[in-house]
Amino acid sequence: MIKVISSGFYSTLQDGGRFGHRAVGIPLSGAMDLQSFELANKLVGNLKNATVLEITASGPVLFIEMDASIAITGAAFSPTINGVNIPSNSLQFVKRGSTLKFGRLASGMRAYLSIKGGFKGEKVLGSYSQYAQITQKRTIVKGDTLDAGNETLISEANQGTGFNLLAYDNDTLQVFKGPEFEQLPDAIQSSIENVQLTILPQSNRMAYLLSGFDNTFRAPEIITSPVQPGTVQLTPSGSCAVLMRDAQTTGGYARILQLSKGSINILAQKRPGEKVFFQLY
Amino acid sequence: MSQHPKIEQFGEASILISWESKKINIDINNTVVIWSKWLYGKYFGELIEIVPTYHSLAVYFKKKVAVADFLERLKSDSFPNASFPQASYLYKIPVCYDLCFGLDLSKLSKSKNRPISEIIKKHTKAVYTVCFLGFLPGFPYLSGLSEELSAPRKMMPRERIDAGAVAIGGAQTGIYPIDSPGGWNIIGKTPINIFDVSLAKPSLFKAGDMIQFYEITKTEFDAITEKIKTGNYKLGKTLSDD
Repeated sequence: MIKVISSGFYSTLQDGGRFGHRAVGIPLSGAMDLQSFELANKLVGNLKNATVLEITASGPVLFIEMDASIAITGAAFSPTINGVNIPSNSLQFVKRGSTLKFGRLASGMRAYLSIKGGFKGEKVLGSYSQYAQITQKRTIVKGDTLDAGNETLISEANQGTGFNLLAYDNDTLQVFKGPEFEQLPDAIQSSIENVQLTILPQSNRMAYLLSGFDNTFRAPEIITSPVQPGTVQLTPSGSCAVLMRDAQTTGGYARILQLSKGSINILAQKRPGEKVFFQLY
Repeated sequence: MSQHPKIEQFGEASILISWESKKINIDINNTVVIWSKWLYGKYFGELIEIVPTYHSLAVYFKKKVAVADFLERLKSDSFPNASFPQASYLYKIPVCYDLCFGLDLSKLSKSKNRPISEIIKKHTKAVYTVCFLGFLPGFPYLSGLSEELSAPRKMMPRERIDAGAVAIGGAQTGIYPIDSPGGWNIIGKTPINIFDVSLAKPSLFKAGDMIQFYEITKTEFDAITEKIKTGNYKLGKTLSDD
């Protein structure tokens, strides 16, 4: 078992997502940065959709009661086991009775803690991803006990070979034109790549809010239509949101752009105040 | 059948199929529902899921599918017509309009200058169509509310509305599937659970289903609640004709 001594700012169990229920309005959920999530599982030899702990902005303190194989990927914290630094992005063997801390966040926003066997959790509608209105718990909290080894099958660990780390310093988000792009005035269409956008503090797993468009950038509402992670919405008042993994399945704001899957991972690692640009394919 | 839709790619792993209309059009929504069922039936092995809305639907593909290639195949396919079998249900939903549940009923009655009994009569007379689900998990967007019952959303949303609350927001009526904040005018409550995550199909309704409300007393509400608890309640449900 693993005891949660403190939870960190916002730590949730996440897998690849809750597929197959969006038609009844259930958000996809799942890890925000799928590239780092998949790497975390690969390093400990899990199937790629095994449940991990997604750690946001500040890390939890965990007391690990059993011998365990773990890996930490994603945002660059300075993790320690019993006060001794351990490297990220590698398989680590932890002795029973160890305390894992995450330390200071140097870059990125979200780290992923994987454990061989995957985390156990509450499985709802085919997924272990925590989401307020679907699972009983929306985050892990102080006093929780976590355990490894759900039904996920284990393959041989293949750590250290052939993986790419996310380029956190990349500030360019690759986008496709969204369904309402062509309805934007030409002046907006032609200048949208030149705007430096700043990530606002309200950004979360539902949406990243961006400022930087001048006040002529606005779009009329649409009749409620499908949206998905990576959809860039522009409102009549000119605010701009990029929908993320916990977003609603439908929305009434103009869908001007759609992020590539890789760019969703990059954005998921940006912090409030950081700058990004859109680049059309 | 309505005009041919616009079919376009929507991100890397999905397509959007949409029909042009400035106003919400129930015939187009019906077409969306038919297309959704037709696509599921025909391309089941390639899809993860389909999200229908008023005038458009998104198709989300499995990883193996080459989306550009699918688009070409789809565009040369023969599209479904209005006689495509729908298998939609008509649900009879009991609602208690007692003032202990109908928190905004008195106010609505005053602002409409109509007795409460007439509001209930109008609300239970109509047959509503589930256009699609969204906004909250399991929340049905219903069309068919009498224009005479439309009422602006409240200036100050309530922090908590109970699951089962039946409400009017603008020109729409709906049922809250889960406890949540909300700004609609609450006129009653159903004892039926329309959303339950412990079921493989968590939502009672799907797009294309029909709903008619009927009035029950507080005593009947309590009796149905008790029957549901013990598994002895049978909801009124029939295959609808169209």
